[in-house]
Amino acid sequence: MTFTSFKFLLFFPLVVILYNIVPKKARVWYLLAVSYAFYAFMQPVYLVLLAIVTLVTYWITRWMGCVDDDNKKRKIQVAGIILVLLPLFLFKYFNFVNESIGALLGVWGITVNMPTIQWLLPVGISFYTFMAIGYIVDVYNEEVNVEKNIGSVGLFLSFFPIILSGPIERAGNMFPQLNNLRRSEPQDLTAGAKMMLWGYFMKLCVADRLALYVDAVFGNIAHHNGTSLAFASLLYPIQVYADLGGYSLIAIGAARCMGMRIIPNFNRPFFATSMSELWRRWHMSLIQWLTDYIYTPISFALRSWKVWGIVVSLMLTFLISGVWHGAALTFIVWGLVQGVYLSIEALVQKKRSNFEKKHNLEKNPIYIFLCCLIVFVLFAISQVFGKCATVEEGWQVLLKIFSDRGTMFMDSSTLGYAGVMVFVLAFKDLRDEFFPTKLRFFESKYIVVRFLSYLFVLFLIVNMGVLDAGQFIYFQF
Amino acid sequence: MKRYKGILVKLLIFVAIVIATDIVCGKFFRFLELKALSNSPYGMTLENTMWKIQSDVVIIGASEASHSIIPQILEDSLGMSVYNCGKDGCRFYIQNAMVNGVIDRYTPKLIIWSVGPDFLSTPSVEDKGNLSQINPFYSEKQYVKDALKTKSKYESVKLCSKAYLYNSRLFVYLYKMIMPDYEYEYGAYAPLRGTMSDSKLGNREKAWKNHLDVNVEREFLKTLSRCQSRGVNVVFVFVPRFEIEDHQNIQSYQRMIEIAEKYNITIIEDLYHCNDLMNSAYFKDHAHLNSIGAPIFTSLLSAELKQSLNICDKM
Amino acid sequence: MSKEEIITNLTSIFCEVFNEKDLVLRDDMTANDVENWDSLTHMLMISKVEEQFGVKFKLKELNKLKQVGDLISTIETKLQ
Repeated sequence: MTFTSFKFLLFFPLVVILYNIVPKKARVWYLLAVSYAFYAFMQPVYLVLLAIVTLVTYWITRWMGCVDDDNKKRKIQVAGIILVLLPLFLFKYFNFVNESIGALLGVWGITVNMPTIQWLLPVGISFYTFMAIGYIVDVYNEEVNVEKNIGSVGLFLSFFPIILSGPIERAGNMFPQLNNLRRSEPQDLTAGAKMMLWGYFMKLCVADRLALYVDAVFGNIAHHNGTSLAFASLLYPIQVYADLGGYSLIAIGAARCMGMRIIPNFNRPFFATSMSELWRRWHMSLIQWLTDYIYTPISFALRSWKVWGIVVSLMLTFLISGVWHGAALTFIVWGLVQGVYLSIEALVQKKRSNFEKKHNLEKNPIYIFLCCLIVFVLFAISQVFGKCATVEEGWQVLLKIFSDRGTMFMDSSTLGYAGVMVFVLAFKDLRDEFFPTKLRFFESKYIVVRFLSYLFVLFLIVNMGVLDAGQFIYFQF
Repeated sequence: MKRYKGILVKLLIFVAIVIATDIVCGKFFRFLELKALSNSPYGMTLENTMWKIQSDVVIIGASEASHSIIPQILEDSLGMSVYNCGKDGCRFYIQNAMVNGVIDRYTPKLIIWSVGPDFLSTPSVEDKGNLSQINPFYSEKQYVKDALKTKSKYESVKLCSKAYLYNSRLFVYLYKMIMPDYEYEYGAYAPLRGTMSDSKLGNREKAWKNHLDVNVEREFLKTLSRCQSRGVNVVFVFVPRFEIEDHQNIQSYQRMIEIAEKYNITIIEDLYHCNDLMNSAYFKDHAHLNSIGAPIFTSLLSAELKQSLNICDKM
Repeated sequence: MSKEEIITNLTSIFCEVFNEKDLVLRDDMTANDVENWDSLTHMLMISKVEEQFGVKFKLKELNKLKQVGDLISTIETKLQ
């Protein structure tokens, strides 16, 4: 069940109430049962796969804990990573790899009938696979202790708020909490509920509303002119931010209701003044994971190549990031474009820094605004490939944007609502970024102000949200 | 439990405030809706149809009906009062609600129902969105409830909220209060001035979706039975389109022919692409006659009506 | 090499890689305290440290360095 379904709205309060009734020792097993039931509700067959990956992870880490020889430990680690990656590869990438090989052979005139697998992608596999790998590597690096309670390991990989679409959590953050699950304090419940309320607003009012326009334009590229495509492309990053950011907030809020602190996933990404800063604010849990487990080892291995080592590491890391998003050439292109952006930035970093110092631009609001704008536009351009079905389509769109002028496609009702909702979201983000202590509504000391603000957001959701089951972009990951 | 007492009390108070606000919202939006609609006589068509009119002849349909069939001409020819209930974007479920809303209140002599080859096919996403036009009648009419349930699985739960009843309607009302609506003439006919621009003259080919919707069919049969039992005459009319198309093999069309036979309903189809009307000067766009074509069509229609129904004898 | 020499050399490396003229190192300093010290420049710094001091790090060791003080003591240990 997705977070925006009625079933979840009934299921969740019951889960929280029961969580607080169950004795402390049983809480891990209770949540494990609930998470497995939640998963079984969607894809009962693949629950077996999740259980197997959990068992493998548990067994590999406990084995590493018993071994002293570093070489042997490393081999166990590698074996564990391969075993855990195998299902992800089979379900997500097998067909794509085979098609690509087939296409490559076709170039040399060799036709081969490559086998395909027609299985549905298991929900959350990209997320729990990464979490399992992270845990295995952390054990090898002695960053965390081996978790002996299999219930905790099982819960870590299946925890229902985060299994569907993240944030991608870490053993170091989760296990101490899972091994000391405490009751929901009143402030946990209110803080969690507020986060969920705002998350629902972002998803149902901003993301799903923008999607109506963006999908209408991108769904019929031949029919729409460059101006409409340009506008839709500029709206798309905002849509994704509201979609994944909102969904993550609901997940974080849900966990918070049970006294748990989950790592954040977004930090007002559009206030970034450089691409590298954007990537420290956008899908943070994924980037942190990629930095710690992919980028750092590779850049370490290539450190003698100096700045070119950084460039290669960046390209590889973002290539993997692209591939993680989907088994398609468009995602690879998207990833590579990010890599190129960041590489260029890394190469000119010193020059830019000197230029800023020389002209005293660091605190200049106009300069900051321009930087944010340029970063946003560059990001939007790269996102075109994330949105389109094929790379050719992506190029078509970009070409049309720069060559085909015309009157913009106007769906005044949709754009009107979207404008209001984006304004509300922008107001909150601006306030949080520049004046975090002023004009607080959800955290006002006056209960009347707080209640009115919850009421207002609730009204926006019910009266102006898109409540006809909008599709969540990151769902089949 | 003590530690949760404070938060539970606050929650209960908040829920009470939410419910109260929701009810107030409902009243406010209904007020706004009427204010917006009353600003445009054309906009009041649905309200009038459901609550007011007592005409002998009632024209049901979407934009093709409201812009093409002229009540004044029919009245002069048939000698009966005529009202055009047609309204832009109102597809099957809304038309169905209109017919039922009329025969709830009185028994008209004739219902002229503007249909098309895809009349019994599944409503599009846009059509489903438009369904919210009949939200105000939700609590009172079962057929409105049935129609709105087709929007989504838990629609009846969502419709408990008055604020949801008017979801995404605010801008429509504000727009209607400020912007001028269609020109309006006697009997709720809305003439379309002007002709097709050259760019639109081009591609006249129309491809129909071939899909029969069982829910639509079921509700349609219910309504026709109702009409039959009340002695209301029904006629199906194909309003002309400036298109090249072939609908003989469309499931929805074939089923409609069967249903018409079963209920002894006359279908007036020969005006659909008749030579007298296939002139680009008579059309505003491929699907709508303009203010020059509409009178010509209505005259031809009234002649056909008189002929097929032997109206003067029957009425 | 004495601890003071290590700190002096390290300071000049930091100033060069992170493009900060007047940096003063503290034991509890981390990447959060220096503007241009991020995952992109970190490895450049490490590579320069290895060159300058003639030491070699293992990845495991790097992951354990939480603040500048740890880095200084690790260099000290390696030079002994």
